Amino acid sequence: MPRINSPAELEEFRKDVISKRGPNKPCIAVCTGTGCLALGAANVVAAFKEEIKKQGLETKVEVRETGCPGFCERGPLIVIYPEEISYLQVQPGDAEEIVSQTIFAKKVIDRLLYVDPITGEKIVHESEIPFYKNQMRLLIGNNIKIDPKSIDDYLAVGGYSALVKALCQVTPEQVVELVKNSGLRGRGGAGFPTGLKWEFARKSPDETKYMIVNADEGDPGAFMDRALLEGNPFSVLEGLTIGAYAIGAHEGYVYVRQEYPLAVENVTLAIKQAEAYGFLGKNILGSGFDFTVTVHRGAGAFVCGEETALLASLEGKPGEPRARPPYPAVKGLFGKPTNINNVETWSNIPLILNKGPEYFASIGTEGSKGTKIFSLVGKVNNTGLVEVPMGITLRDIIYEVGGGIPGGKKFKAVQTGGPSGGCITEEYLDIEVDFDELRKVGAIMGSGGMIVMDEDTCMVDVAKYFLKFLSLESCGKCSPCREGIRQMLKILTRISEGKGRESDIGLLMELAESTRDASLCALGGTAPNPVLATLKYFRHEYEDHILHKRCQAGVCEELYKAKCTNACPIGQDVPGYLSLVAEGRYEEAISLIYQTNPLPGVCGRVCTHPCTDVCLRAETDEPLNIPKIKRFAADMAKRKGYTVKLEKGKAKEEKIAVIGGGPGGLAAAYSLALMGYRPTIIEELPQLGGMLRYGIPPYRLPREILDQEIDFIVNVGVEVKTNTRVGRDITLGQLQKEYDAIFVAVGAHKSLPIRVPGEDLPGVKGGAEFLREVELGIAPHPGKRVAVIGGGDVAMDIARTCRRMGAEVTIAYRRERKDMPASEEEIADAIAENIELKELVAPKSIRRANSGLALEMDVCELRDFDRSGRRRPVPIEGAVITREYDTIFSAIGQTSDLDFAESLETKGDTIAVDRHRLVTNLPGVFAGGDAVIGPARIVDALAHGKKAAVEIDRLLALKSGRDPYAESLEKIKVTMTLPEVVTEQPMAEIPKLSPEERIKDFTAEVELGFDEETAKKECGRCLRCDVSWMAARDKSMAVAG
Amino acid sequence: MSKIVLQIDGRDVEAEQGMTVLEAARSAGISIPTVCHNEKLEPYGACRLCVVEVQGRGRTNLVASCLYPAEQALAVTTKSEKIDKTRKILIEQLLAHAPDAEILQNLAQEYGADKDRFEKEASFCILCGLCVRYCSEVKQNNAVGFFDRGATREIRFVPELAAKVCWDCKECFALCPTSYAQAAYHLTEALAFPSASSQLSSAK
Amino acid sequence: MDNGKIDKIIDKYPSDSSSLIQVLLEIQSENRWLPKEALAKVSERLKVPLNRIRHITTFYKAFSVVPKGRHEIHVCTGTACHVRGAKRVLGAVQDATGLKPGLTGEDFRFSLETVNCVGCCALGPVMVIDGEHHGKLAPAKSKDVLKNYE
Repeated sequence: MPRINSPAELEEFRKDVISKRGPNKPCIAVCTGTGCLALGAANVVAAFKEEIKKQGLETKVEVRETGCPGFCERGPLIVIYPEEISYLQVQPGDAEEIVSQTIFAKKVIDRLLYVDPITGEKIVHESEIPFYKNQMRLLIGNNIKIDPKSIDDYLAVGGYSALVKALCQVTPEQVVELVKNSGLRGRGGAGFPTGLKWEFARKSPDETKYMIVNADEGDPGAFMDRALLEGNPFSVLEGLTIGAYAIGAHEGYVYVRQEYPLAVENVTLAIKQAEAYGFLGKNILGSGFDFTVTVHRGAGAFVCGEETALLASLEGKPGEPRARPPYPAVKGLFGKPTNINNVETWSNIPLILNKGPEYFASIGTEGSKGTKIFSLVGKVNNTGLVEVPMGITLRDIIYEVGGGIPGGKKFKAVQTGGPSGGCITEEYLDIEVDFDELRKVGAIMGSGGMIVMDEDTCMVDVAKYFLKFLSLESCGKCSPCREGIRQMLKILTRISEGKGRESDIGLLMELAESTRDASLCALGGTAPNPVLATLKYFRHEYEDHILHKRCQAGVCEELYKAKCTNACPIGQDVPGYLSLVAEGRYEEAISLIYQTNPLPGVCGRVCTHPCTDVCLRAETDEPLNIPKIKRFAADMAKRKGYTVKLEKGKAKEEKIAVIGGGPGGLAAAYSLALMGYRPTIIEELPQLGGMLRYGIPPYRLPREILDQEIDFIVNVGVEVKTNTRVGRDITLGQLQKEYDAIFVAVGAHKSLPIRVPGEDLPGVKGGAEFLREVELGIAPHPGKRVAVIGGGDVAMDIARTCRRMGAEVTIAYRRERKDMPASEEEIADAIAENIELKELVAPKSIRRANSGLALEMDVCELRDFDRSGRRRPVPIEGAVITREYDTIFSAIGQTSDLDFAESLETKGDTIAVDRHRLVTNLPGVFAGGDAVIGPARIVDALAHGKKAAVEIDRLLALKSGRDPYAESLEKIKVTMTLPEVVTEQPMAEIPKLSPEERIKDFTAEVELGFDEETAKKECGRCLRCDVSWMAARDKSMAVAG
Repeated sequence: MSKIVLQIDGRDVEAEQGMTVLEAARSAGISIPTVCHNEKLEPYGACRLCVVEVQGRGRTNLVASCLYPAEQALAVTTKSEKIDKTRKILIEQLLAHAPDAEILQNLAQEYGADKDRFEKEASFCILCGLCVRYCSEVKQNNAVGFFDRGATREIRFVPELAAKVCWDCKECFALCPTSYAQAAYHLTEALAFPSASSQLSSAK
Repeated sequence: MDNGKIDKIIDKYPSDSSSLIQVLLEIQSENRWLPKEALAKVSERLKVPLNRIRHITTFYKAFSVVPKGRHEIHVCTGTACHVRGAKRVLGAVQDATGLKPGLTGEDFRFSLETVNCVGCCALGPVMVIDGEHHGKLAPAKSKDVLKNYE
């Protein structure tokens, strides 16, 4: 290797390197970063090398093993130069085709390209892939271009020109000034101005000073330093050498964690190469400046990321931080002035020197300049490293770059800054990310970890996880940190196990404060952040765990039996009845179902089944068809004439009114009747059922099933007053006088207006009102041509009802099918019935036309992401279509009609209640269901009904001095064994009437139900999480005991 | 040594350059509680009961007075609601380990700490480090040391060394606020180097 | 591990206490654990008291003072892996090996450890066996991976 003794020699050598390569020589760059290696990149490289050898192309085609460009999600990644063709998920078997097709024939191989999930378009060039396109890759961009084991590669992309500039053109003081003027702030976490830090170290009077690269990237979830050090170690060393020159240091250390073996290897090799070329060592580039660097491996301690702990560790001691002052700039390693910067900070230095501080300062925000690399991980589609300018919004990072949340789940929070950072909620996604803005919302930049969490994440568990981490990673020296974390973890653990106390939240706050204020170092000082941040934004989750022993997200396993049961608002023992059905014990199955659900036949048909969304079987093949098994059990019970035996409480005197005969009201009345009350349901319409009857058409929910299940409830002991509207026939005030308690469950029957000109014209109707009129038999015929505006289940119901009345129906929806709130099955059924689905159109106006109504619609395109995490539909200028219809239905949502009760306090369009007890502002008046939470699922209404019954009983019992009713359920023995073998078997599909058959008849049930064999077989697919977790729990209890 | 003047609780206190705030305060007769501090040993800063408030850069910080250097014109507060609250909960956390330690009981009384606020912990060592530091700094024996980290940090005697040097020293026992040092020693002795007497008795 | 080998390792570094961690790391990677005799030797050569060496070998996670199995499994329980189900992967590995984290099997086939992040966050859940990374694991897949290590 040549030793380069002057800037002139360097430029000479650089020219030589570049000329040897030739701009058009094909090069296959294969990412061999740790991520791609884990996905098999080494075999891909070997396959290419073999193929090229086989074809005798060794001198004509280069295979370059490069660092990580960041899109780890789709690895192994390759880029083919000079065309910059990007192939994803490349396998060794693809090598031959790539060499012969792409390298030789210059043909692009379609199947290896990135496919835009929205447009379906295939993207050839790396820089055009949305993941990369929305980034600004000043630091990490070179990773895919160079082999980190080749200093020549680094020189070919202009490496070491910044060092030349520093050593030969400016003074050390000027370097410090340049860095100060750039506005660069430390990327390790605290964001201290780098130039200022250098100035302190420069001004410390001592012959011996030390320079340190902090590559102890301990934040779980952050790996940008690994990628930089692995992928481009030279840029870090160049920055470090410039810093050493500026400060006047001659010895440096790279402190890198041993968990990054490839980074250790590459940086060690880079140092050797730099020494050989004369970029390190004596008289660098003939400038007279000497500087050597040693690699020091960290031995596995998060706390060593703290600079004083890192120094202790470098000195061969345990990584215990020490108090500052004195600061390392004054008294650091071996008592000498020391300057420590993080990897990413160092790799910014060559950029600042090369492009000038003005350029650097032109990127970013007022207080934070340049770019920042984030590791975007967790529940996000495009996980990987993203480099973006400071000031970009979180929404852009998560949605534009990250591609949003996978599996159609809802975004919940993003954790920034690692274990000592904080979580940021939906509400703050539009903040411009920089050091100061993040701090304002209670989070920190930290080293740039960004962990996205969706609705399946439990925030108590998140806090517990971080505190557990910190309890093991604290050095343990000072008591506020060690003991404070210990106590906070204990409290979080007991909360997650359902043993939390009401006073725990206050105690957590107190511990958090003392730990934060009294700890010796930043680890302790920031350790309470996860607790404080989750308490700030997700206090209700803590309350749910403590008061209701409930983990909505289904993470805290001690709190539930199985995921499906936990996801069900009424807590149906799903694995229990599946097991009973599998064994043919149908009578017991229906009894078990009835213990928590008085409407099994209804729910088996029309429940939106949150249980299947969380079914663990989906990891093997597909979730179980839980609702249809429930339907099977209910149908079987009916066919065989099973009667469910019910235990009824002692008769009680108090009078209770239930306003509304929908699922919420029915469930409340049922539970109250079982307790021994004789509640009265007051219903405006002629029959009970609410939205079940007046909102769901009979082809989905046959009326005989509904009638039968309602009769059962009424027969337990319920009075019914139909055709009675509160507010018209009787006032709420009167009811309050007459009854001891009232439950308001009036549902949401009023359609929301579309808000376009012309919607008052005759022929424009509310969808919910129409469905009601159809059921009442008073609906006028909608005509031949019908438009339904909206994309929810109600829109599908209207469309399919009209279709059965002989109309041609169009559903107009402003986004795309995948964004529709209606269930995919409903949409497919509608389309199968020849209903037209028109996507990306928004109503603009309605006017009278020659024959009927003219509906003018804007054609939309999807732009940026809105608060719902879906892309916002925006009308395309000038693109308007007009169609004529006889009837236009609005089905964009519903609300409750609360005119009847002005004395009830409301919150927006719903009744305000205490969510723990469902009490309203009026004494003795409770409320639940849609009227409280807005249009919701049937099971939510059932859950509220049951809860209201319990709360009402508690109130009345308290008043009369008796004990509240204690429910005693018959113990039904369920076989508790795990399936012996699990073989792949997809979910059983429910048989259906053919589309031609079903649109002929308004009442013919579309779904036909399982036969016995199918049902049993489907039940056999259950993995019995209830058994395995129970066993795990027993085991852990045995160990603990 | 040059003299400096700082303000402690509003009083001018004269101190020598290089003193800590704790030393300056004690020299002026102002008492600050400590558990891990010992004049014979280097300041350590683990128990944090000596926290005081100092004004700096426009805000008030809680710092350990045993480590914080006394500086000219530094404004220090040794008693405030915040300081008392912090000390109280720190004492309560230590009491979870060593409810019978006299020094903690006295402090509990002074600060109104409740010894039963937190569940009892298995180990009654409060990790003040007096034994470890005395053994290495004063005796230079290094026979006892810290092990592990975080919540599982503990002190242990190194059997090879303890067998040689401890039998006629045991000076750390008296320093230990909880008698854990003694217990740890006897445990090590029993497990790793059965004493001559017990060997004899087992031979009988 | 014989004394000559240890001496050779120590000779590569400056003979003072600041080399302690680097020397121990090298012995650890050569021998897969740190026997008592090796520690005594290091103490003597680098002039570091044994109590500090003991502290260091228990403070830093890279060290083991008990013998390790032929294959070292590190299941990542870093945050990114955690939110993607590392807990259940760990459960499956525990099931398959019969080991709890921190333990080595009697047949010395496996040692099981958890690790707080290996920087492969985009591929979580991840486990590393003998330095080889395995990403995008599900419980069943992780059991399959183990079958390749005898």
